[in-house]
Amino acid sequence: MTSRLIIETDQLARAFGDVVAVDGLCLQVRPGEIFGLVGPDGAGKTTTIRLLAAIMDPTGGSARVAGFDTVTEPEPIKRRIGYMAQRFNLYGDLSVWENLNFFADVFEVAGSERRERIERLLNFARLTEFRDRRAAHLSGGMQKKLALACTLIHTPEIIFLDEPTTGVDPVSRREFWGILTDLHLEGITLVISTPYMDEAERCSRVGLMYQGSLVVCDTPERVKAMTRGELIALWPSDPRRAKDILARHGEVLEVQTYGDQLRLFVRDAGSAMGWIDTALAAHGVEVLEMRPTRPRMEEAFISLIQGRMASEGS
Amino acid sequence: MLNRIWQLIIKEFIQLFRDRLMAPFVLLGPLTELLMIAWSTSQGIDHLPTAVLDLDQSNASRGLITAMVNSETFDPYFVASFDEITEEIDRGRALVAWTIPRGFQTQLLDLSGDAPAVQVIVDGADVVAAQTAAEVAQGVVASYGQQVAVQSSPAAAGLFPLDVSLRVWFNEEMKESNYMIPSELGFIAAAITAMVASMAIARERELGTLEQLMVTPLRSVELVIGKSVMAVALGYTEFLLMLGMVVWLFDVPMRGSYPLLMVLALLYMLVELGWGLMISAVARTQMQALLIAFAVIMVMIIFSGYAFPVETMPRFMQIIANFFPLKHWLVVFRSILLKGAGVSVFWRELLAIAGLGAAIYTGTVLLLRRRRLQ
Amino acid sequence: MNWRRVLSIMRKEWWHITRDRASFVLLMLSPVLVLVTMGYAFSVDIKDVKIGVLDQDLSQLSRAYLAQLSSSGALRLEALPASLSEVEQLLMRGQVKAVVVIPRGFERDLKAGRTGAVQVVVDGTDPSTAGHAIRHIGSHTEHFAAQQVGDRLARLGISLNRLEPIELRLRAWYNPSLRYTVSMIPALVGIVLSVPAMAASLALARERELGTLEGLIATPIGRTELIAGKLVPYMLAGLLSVPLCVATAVYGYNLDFHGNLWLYLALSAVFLFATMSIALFISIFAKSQQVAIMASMIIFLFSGFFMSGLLIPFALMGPLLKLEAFMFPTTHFVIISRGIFVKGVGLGELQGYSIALVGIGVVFMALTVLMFKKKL
Repeated sequence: MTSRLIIETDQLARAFGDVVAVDGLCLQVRPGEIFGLVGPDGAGKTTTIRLLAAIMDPTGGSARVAGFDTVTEPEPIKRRIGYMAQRFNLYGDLSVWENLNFFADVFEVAGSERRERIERLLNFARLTEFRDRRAAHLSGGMQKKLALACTLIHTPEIIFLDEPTTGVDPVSRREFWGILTDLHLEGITLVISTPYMDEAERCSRVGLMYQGSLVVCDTPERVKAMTRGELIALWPSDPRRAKDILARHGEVLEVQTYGDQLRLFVRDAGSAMGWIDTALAAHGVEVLEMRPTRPRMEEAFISLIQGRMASEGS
Repeated sequence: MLNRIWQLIIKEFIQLFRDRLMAPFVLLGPLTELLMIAWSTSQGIDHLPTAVLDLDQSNASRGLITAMVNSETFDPYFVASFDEITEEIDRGRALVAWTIPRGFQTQLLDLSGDAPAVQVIVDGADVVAAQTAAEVAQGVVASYGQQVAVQSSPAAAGLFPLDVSLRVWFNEEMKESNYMIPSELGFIAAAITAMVASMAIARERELGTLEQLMVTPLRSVELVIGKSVMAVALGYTEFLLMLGMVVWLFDVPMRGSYPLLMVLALLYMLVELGWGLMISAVARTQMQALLIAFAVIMVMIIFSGYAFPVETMPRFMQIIANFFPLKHWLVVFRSILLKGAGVSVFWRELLAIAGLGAAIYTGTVLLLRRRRLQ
Repeated sequence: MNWRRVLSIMRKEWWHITRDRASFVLLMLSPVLVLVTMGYAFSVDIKDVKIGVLDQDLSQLSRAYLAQLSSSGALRLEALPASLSEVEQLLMRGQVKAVVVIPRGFERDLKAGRTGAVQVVVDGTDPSTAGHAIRHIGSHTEHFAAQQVGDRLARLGISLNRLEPIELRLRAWYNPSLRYTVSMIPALVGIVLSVPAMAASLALARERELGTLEGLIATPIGRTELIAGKLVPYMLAGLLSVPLCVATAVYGYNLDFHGNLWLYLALSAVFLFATMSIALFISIFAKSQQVAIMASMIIFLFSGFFMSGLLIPFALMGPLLKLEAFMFPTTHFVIISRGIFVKGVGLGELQGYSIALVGIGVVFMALTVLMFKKKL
């Protein structure tokens, strides 16, 4: 680690009564990164982001954001960050422009700078023609873009985004990521939680959360490389039976189902291509198509979680 | 249908008790409030702070002051000048002021001359106290005068040839609290039920969950029923708790039949709740619901007869009052409590409550249906 | 404290208030509306109590007595029951509040110079109405008796006007005819003016419920700024309805405004500040609007109506109740409002109450600011 860290947590923990949402989290984010937090629902992503944004106090451990402690020095942090909550949290009865204007006031952005920045953000978020529309009447995607614009009004050093693209159509999602990439190129640090694996691949580094702590934390490439064996994509005539048959096979490390497709981790893809056909045919299952492939984030993710669950179960 | 309603009821209860502050607030808040209020009203309008300017300083004037104290309506303290009286009343320290003139005793004992004059000033700004003070003052002065007159001239005894014997029914000691506390109880229970219910649908609408409910096979009627059960359960528990408190703690007599009261109270609660649901069906946000409910509840309080009997109100108001179930209910409630009456006495009121209930519920379901189409 | 930020919250809040047109109209008008209805309900000041007479004597004198009883507006002869069981029915149903029973031999006794007896049966359910009936029946009876014995008085050398041994000169200051509206409307202003406070407590709870507070606390805005920004617009809305209330009272109910209007406005502002402080204090703890509403309704509506001295003067409450009533701004404002409106007194007479209001406001505001945490 050459550059200094912009976010650093030490055994960060937060419990709600008996439920432990974040459990001994040690996280390090470097300036200028796009850091992705992925994990199943309830893994503690939202709580982590709230803890880092200094709007919630931890029940254990500590965190430093932009050099300040989140418990003892929350206010300097709040001046340097932008936070976009998962729920739409702008004022529905205020117009697009009024919302931006309000947050400009709150962050003390004044004078010509404010006018210029609001124009630039409206343009940037492609909301210029909707500036007088009430926020409640915008589409889901536009609301997200407006929320992002509002968090950018004071040019923060770090932006926390909690599942910013959930419930947004693919076109808007693409557009949204275009904006995030621009921000990344400007050198802003982005911490983003997402349930989408394709989004995780766009991050500089991803942290995979499970039950309140990090399972892995590395670049997408390395995370994908953590899977065992080689991957084969297979379209059998009866996926359910095929899965049962193959799962019992000694050569197969893991089977995952995606609709009609099975994805198999095997020790050696070359030889497997040979025996799979015969093994299935013996049970009357036909192979419609089969090819070796490279693992995606999704397989890596499921594989790692399942591995974790198996180790906990034993 | 029953299952769907049941699910909705469960959801309502979970939501209520999830909020840790809500349940104690809803149940204990009104109870404590009634305790305080009942306590304050059970004292009634007596021991009014009274400034006395005694310019005569005689046996007779002291006798009058003693009579005044014995009435228990006045708590006298002495002032030295008329200016002081003005000052005391202006500052609100005294609500009544008596001035006994010089020569009071002489004039009083001289039966051939003019009667002495005592001046009583009441603070008209506080009209409830003022009126009581005025009426009691008349009584004190008249009876003290007669007493002195009879003592000084035995012949005057025959001057008062009519003896009025008084019998008070139902509330023998004429305790103000026996009237006030049931009114307060009825009002608080009604207001709580209406308030909780008025939030119910407005809340779902504001948070966007109503949309979700509307796409389920749940029908408007079922929604209304599901929502009602919780508010009624709350209101009814509240009612029973308050009734217990009133009877045990404040000695309000309960002369009628408990089962009858319980059944009728439940019926009444259902109707009162309809008001809340109707507000809820109209309001788009909880803020609107609050503001409408506030106006309705304030009007309700007028017709509770708490401050003034409905019969003394302008004709128009008396007609309007009939549209508020509370007015009818209080007649029923007091009749059972104090008079030990049965249905044969108040069947008209019961009919009115039932009729209003039917109208209110039909209206609510229609309103909900119309809103959905918009 | 950054004034720009306070202003921005205030402006946003004002937008919230005015954008929802239905709420805005209700917020401004519901105080006036309630004032109008309540004022109208209280506008009849003579209670005519319904009575019945059971005349068992059926003589000339008993009829004269009956005529005497129904000669004033205070009592209304509603029924002439024929038997005691009918009397019971009437009282049970509440059709009459009192029944006068004139016994057989009424005329004979009076003429013979013996003390006659009449019986009054009263429905004690509503003691104030019952008391009213008793007092009026009593004074009519005395008056009737005096007429009957006028000749005997002359023989004793006592003038007829000495039937009342002491003359009572009753004067009601500020409200000579003891009109209810004169006293009630200024007091009701104190209750209806708690509407803006209830709305304010809802406003903060709403931000929490809808999730917008989460976004707000992630910004550098100070808690004092946030609270001040919430407070001022609702105070302003409340202040706007004060002149409306005064106008309703003066033009709608023909009340005279005796005091200084500016002082009234200033003290209304202080009162609004005190109620808002309590309301915002409540909303710190309220996670949902429902809780905020329940709490503020219990505090402002119930206490406001029953314990503020509106009906039972503050001076009469026991020490513990006095303590609760003392902490409650409406109690002070009822006295202030009646003082300025009806009595026309100035700040000198009202300073104690005004200081109490300022104290309540400052204490609760301080608690609110201290206890409001910018955390989830």
